[in-house]
Amino acid sequence: MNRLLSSLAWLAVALVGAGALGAIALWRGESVNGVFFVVGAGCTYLVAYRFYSAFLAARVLSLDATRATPAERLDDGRDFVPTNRWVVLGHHFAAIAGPGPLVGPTLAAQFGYLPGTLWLVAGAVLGGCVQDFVILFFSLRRDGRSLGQMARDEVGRRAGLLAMVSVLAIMVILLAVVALVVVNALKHSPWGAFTLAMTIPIAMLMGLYMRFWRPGRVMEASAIGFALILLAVVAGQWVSHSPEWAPLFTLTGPALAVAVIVYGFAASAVPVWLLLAPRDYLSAFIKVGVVLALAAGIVLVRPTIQMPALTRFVDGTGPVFAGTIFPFCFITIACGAVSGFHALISSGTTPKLLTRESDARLVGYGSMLMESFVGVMAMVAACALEPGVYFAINSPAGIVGTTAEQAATTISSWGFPLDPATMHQLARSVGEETLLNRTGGAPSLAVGMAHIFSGTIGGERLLGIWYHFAIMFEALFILTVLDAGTRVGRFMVQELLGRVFPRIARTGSWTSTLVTSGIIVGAWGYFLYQGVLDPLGGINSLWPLFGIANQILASVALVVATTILIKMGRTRYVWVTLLPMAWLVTVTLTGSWQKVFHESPRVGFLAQARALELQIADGRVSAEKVSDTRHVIFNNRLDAAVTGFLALLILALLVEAALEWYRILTGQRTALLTESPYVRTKWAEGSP
Amino acid sequence: MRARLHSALRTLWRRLREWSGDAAYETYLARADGAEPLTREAFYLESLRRRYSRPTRCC
Repeated sequence: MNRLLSSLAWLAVALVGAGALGAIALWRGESVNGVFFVVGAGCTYLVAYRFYSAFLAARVLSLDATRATPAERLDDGRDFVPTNRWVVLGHHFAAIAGPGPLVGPTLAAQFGYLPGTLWLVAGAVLGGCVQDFVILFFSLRRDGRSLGQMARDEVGRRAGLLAMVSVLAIMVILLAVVALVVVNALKHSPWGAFTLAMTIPIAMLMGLYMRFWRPGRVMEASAIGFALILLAVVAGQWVSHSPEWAPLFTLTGPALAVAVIVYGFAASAVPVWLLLAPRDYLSAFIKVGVVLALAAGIVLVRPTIQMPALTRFVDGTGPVFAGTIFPFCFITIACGAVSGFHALISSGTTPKLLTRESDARLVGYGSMLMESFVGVMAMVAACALEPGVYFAINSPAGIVGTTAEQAATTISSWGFPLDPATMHQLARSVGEETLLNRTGGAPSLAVGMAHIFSGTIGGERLLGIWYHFAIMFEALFILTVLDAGTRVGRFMVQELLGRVFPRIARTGSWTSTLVTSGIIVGAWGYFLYQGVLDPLGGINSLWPLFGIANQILASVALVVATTILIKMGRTRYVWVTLLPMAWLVTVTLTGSWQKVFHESPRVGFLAQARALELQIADGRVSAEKVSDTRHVIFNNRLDAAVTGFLALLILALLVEAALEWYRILTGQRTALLTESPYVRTKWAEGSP
Repeated sequence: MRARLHSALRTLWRRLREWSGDAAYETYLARADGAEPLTREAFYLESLRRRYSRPTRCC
């Protein structure tokens, strides 16, 4: 009887989900409500978790709850600590959820709400969650070894080096692009710049509190920090109206870029307790709180989706970024569906905390479902804006012009009516001079979130406060990624260069710290600065580059996972990792090819370089702009070289892995796994 | 009913402290049998050094 009831209940969930997704996909001519997105995605996640992740856990991986985890065997109260699975889920989610699932879907909304939403759900269920789950499980069976170590042990030494180089490459591009998102959100915005600037002394105050006054009291310090941050958001309004203070915080893009680069260098070099750690604690609390609030806001406000299901820009002529729906929708969504970077977290801290092997299903598969849900909410927030407003905020000046009147004329000609007065009024109501040309996704998402939040609390009166709270929320954890990423990148540079110059490898040496911090900050700072100067807004070139790098890292993780499955003798189930891997390799190689060789200057780096050279040769570039244009030409060629390098990297790894698979499957090589030996858990089922 | 609510809130608070890292020192002390344990301050600094030497935040 219970079995029958359970089957009926799951059938109902599946039908409701299918109905909601069907409505999103098939309704035309009527506005769709945001609640359909939440219900459709939520029901799909429930069914996927109940059935597909159970299949992965039982049949493919054979999770063994009687096997002691590294946290139990190596328990030291520091790195290895058996932890409640819901606490680990919270840790893991806070670690993997960054700006990607917010910004990616917002940018991909230019294709319409449908393609991005479907990929967010399907990509996560069949690709991203699988990757996170299997890598977590494999690391768990290997005492928490990292992705790079597993690649070296299971695929080969070269594979380990390739994995490490790809991690470093993605780190540099990631840091540049997230910094660019912050710069584009805060330029000419004294309110936003002041609020974010205040997070630095607030974080330092928290750092001093936890270091000297109340060591390790994270919750007390975070409560103080949160109260001060709210105060800074409110005070920002006063600063933006002050004739003395406003000019101090009204910064151009290049000035902000320099400030972020200097900040990144300082954050990497100063003691971690002073800035990085307190900002990280504060950001984790605010991140989880805002995500929950956004979910509640969407359910309460039930926003109407204004964006059409598909826009004319599926043909690749979009103003937000150029490129056709395949492959660029998938590359742009990136983290919300599949993120290679998650494999570093799944093979980092998380496997050292799991109490039981069976918890890997909830933590690995479950937390990626939550991240995908964040992406769906970002899509709802972006698509709830009037399309004309969305395009006015996200399009660069080079395409829609710099005034509301020019933007309204251009965007209306695309079939998205826009009244210039709407943009003036919207900017005034959120406390900004203008919202035009704020590429990068963060400001349009903040406008969408502010509408949802103000629909719940405060109404139009608090729109400006909610907008700047949302901007602060996005910028705060982007800077946390910047701090933490720069620091880890520094360690990786130290390790790589340390193989040639052993003195560099000394992490305690100030000279080494300063030199390697300079190298890593110089690398992402260069890409950031080129993005700021890019006449097409930077996001057009850097976000696809980031998406390609991220998806290539996911391919690396899935190659490693496929190799391990073959070695485990689970060849009949190898499709669970092989199919998403094949899809990602196809998407990234197509995207790489198009970014390098496409004949349209807006898509292909080399075509843009050629077009600019032609403009100089024809005398269409004024004398004072020739030097800047030559820089843009060089940057395009550099971007083409980086994209080509990343594509070659995954091809080399694929060849290396395919040879290994062939040798094992034909019996030329014995499949040797590097799993830790089985030790029976001392805990009975159900405890601790 | 009241006792159950109280117990649920206590559990929630405990889990929140574990998640945030607030309870890390108590967890460490509970396992530091025999050897002289680190002070709260030394433990805090050491845990930060270890935590931020590997990827902890994602994109």
